[in-house]
Amino acid sequence: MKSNSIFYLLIFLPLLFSSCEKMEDYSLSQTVFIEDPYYPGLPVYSEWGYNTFGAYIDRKPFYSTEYDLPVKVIVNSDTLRIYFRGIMGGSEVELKISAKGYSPADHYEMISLDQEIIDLTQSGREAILKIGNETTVLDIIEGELIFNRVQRLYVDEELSRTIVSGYFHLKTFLYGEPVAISYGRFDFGIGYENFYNY
Amino acid sequence: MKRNLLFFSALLLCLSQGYSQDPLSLKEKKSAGFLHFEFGAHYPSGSVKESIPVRQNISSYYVDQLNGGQVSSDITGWTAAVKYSYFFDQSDVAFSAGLRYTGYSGEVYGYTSPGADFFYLRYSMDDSNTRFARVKEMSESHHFISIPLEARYYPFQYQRMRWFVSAGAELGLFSFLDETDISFREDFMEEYQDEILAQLAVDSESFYSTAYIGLGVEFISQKDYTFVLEAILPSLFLSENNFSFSEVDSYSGFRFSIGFPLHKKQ
Repeated sequence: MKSNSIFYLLIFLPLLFSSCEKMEDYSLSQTVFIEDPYYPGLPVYSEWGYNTFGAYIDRKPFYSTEYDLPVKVIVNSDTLRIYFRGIMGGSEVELKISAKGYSPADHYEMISLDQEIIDLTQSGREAILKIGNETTVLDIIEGELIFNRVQRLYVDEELSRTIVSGYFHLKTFLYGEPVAISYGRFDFGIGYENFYNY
Repeated sequence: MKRNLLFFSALLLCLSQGYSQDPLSLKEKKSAGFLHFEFGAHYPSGSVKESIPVRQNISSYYVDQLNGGQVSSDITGWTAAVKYSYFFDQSDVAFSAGLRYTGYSGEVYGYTSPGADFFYLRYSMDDSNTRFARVKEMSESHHFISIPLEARYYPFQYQRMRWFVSAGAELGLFSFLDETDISFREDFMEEYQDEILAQLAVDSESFYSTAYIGLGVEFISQKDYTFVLEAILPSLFLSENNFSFSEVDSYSGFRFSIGFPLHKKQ
């Protein structure tokens, strides 16, 4: 009887500690939304990997929530696609920005985007806005996606994820009239759960 | 808490020995000098320094986060002093000066999510790489010797008890045994401690000065020994940057002292 207890303990204890180990880095993938006091409704710009983004679409805040994955980075062939997923005025909104000519093999290689400014008016660039069930391919008047800082994150001297921080803004047409997506900022921790290359 | 109980127990013991039913008459109240031995505790209020790069240092912000992580700082202090005071009976005022030792012990602690026993401290950030350490606690201790200068006014007396209001300031002479320590989640990170502390540049100022006000009561025994219990109202740090990890600007506390008469004006 006693040997059975020891046996189950030897099986149970490693499982317990291994689940704690995964939970520790899981907290780095959670959202920490600190409101910007100068831009109400938007997260403050940061470079901590807080997994937030925000922008004004005209005057409405479009921002990440703590419940949904705020970003997915998908690399397919030579095209980089970044999906910003959040809410605006209670509706689910997704902004997809695509750029040809960027193809990091994994999230660590996103370091190559450090200080990169992507002009969204150039060929091979595209932005698609989905509000609720309505999808619009944006006709971009002007705009930029700025990777202000991309850095590899080491936790306790072990490579963990890549922190991607920056700004975005663009002018486009929506429902037949000009619209500005302004004061956009993002701060993401890109790792296994939100980077795809296929 | 144990220290507080010790102070109050000592107070009650002294009171039971020294307090007399005989009232102190106006004729007996004379100007006199006393030697005081004082003990006390300080409770500074503050927050984690903004310059310490702690992830989720959000105590001063409104934040939405699913996990509810937080980081806090906590500092306690204790004092011991020897003071000479002189009481002027005509104005019911006493002035004192002496030498005081003050020791502080502080911790920064927190968790990144419920169930975790650590927070992330960023200790390195260059062009391409950022390094976090999983930290359970950051602790510090500082010790100061200062000269307290105080004034007390006794507006009210009943039998052998007299109440007072006090005001004072202390000017630091020197500090000693300043120590900082980081307790890591992973033992192997200990070898990086010196490097991390150097990166954080956590020096503190050695000059220490505070200004304080208090309310208290003094019990006078038949042999003119005095037993004083004083509450330090929220008071100011006049000096800056006395702590390595925390930003502190005020404190409250209490003091207990025993006074021995040295000479009495006839």
